[in-house]
Amino acid sequence: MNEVRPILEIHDLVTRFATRYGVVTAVDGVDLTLQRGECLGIVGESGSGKSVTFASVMGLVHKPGWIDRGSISFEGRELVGLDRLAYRALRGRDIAMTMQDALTALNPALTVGTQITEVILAHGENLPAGRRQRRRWAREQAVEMMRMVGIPSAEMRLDEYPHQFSGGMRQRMMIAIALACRPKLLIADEPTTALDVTIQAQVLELIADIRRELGMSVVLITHDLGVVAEYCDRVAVMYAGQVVETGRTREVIDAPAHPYTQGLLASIPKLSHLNERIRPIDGQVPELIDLPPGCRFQSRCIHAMAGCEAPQQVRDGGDGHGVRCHLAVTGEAS
Amino acid sequence: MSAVLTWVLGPVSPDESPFRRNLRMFFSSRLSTVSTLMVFGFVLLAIAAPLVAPHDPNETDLFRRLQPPAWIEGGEWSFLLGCDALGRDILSRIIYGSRISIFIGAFVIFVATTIGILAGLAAGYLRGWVDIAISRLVDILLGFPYLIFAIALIAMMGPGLQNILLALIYKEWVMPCRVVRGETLAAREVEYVEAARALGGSSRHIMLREILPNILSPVIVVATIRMAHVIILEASLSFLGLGIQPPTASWGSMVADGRSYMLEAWWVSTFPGFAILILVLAINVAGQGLRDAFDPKFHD
Repeated sequence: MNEVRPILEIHDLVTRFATRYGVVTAVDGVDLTLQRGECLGIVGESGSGKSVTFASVMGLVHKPGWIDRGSISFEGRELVGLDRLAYRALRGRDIAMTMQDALTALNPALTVGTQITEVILAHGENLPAGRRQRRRWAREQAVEMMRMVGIPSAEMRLDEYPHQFSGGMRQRMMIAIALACRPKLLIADEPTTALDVTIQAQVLELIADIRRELGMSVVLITHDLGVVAEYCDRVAVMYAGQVVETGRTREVIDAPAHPYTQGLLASIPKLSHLNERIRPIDGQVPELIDLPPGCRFQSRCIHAMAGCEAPQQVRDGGDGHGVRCHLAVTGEAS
Repeated sequence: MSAVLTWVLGPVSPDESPFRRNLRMFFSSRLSTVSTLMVFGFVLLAIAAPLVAPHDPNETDLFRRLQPPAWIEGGEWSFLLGCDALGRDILSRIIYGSRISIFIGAFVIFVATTIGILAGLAAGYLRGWVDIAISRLVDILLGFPYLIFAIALIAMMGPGLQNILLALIYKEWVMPCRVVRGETLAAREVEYVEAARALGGSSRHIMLREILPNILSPVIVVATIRMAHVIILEASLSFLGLGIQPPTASWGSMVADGRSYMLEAWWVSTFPGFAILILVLAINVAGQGLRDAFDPKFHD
């Protein structure tokens, strides 16, 4: 990594939600850095706060949720507390996000062409003068974008409705819409969960290709460590609202230091050890209300010992590989 | 379900939009088709009244006072449905009266639905104090009986076409507003709305472009069924003498006029009453058909 300023810096982000059972701290002190052109993988199970972290980045945390403290800076610009209009201009143009479920994220009542050209017309720069010229220009842009994501006969399919598209094609369309204004940062929230395996690989390859082509930074939110290993430069593992381990993908996967990451890796079936049983992690993610101050994983951790009930700090091994576990430093867990 | 659909509609082409499919389903019912044709027939009659009506609706002829319909002794074929107490041709008055009923029904529903859609979208999407203000107003208006509310308003403003329209619109927008608010509450949580927000769509854009096209079907259904109500209300107001003032023909006032001759000249009240019945029935049946075809809850 060179020394230029990172495109996205999240520091000590806390996002909470008021529920009838109490205040849920969905994101609790997350620190993340994303360099220009880099692909960062965010891994964690449901409820680990990975989606809420990036909803916070997009300014899409609504009542009863709020950002309690921390800072999010995009290209050096503070996003927490940014006014509504400035945020709206930023969304879609500089930062774009694709939603978890491609099958429902397209409006069923509008043609895909309308949906993509509206984004282009809303955010595009150097629009030609004249309504008609603008429309034609937006259509050309849309067709180009659809070609880029590999939708065949884009010109014709522009006037079709989402229900006429297959699942994979809808996901491509979502990506085309997200990329329509060539954003600097793409947040892909579980881009492949709704798709079958063969299409998953195609979509991920597509994101990787476009990233190289446009020099864009990508955040890939997923619960699949295999996807991260294949496509991401760096990875952050989240658990119960905190980042428990972060570092270069190779280092984290080859030498996981946090017991939770180790557990995650151990629960992936391996082709070379087919007759071995998968070792799942016992127990469940704790309730996010009234969490004890200590390590959040201790109730499920096979290494739990005295000292785990104290608050855990992220310790950096010096090479950007940070771990939120006191055992990692003494080396007992790894 | 798709098997049943295939059976009813023939092969379902995947290229057909949901709207076209619903429309096809609607017209596959003979009852819906017939009632739709009848409603259009009334509309045509209203538009072409001067061409269709055999006589001037306001021309009085005391020699034809309470003349019976053509097929009863003393009737004439040129005055098919007989004449009223002033010797005016009932058929011509019914034809001209349809203009009032249909115009008031359509105009009130159009304006009230437009207001209701905007208010409902604002309440359901923006929430907060906007929702509280609109919803409480709706609750208050729903607390008044409709007819009494309209009578009170007209008593204050005086009769006349404009005041009838106002009196009916004052309350009518509440119905589409409630439907739209409910649908919007559900639609604002859908992924594509969140996606539109993530792409930088403004509230206005999201309300009018993303949500509205998706909730239009129930609104159309409600508007159709409410139109029948409005026509009855207008007839009720005219019956009570609060509606369109004489000599303009209106079905409600025609029924009222014939009340005193019910025993010796039943046709004066009966035929305009039938006209109200047939139009309202046709609109209601068409509205039911629309609901069956457009509401996904009725598809299974």
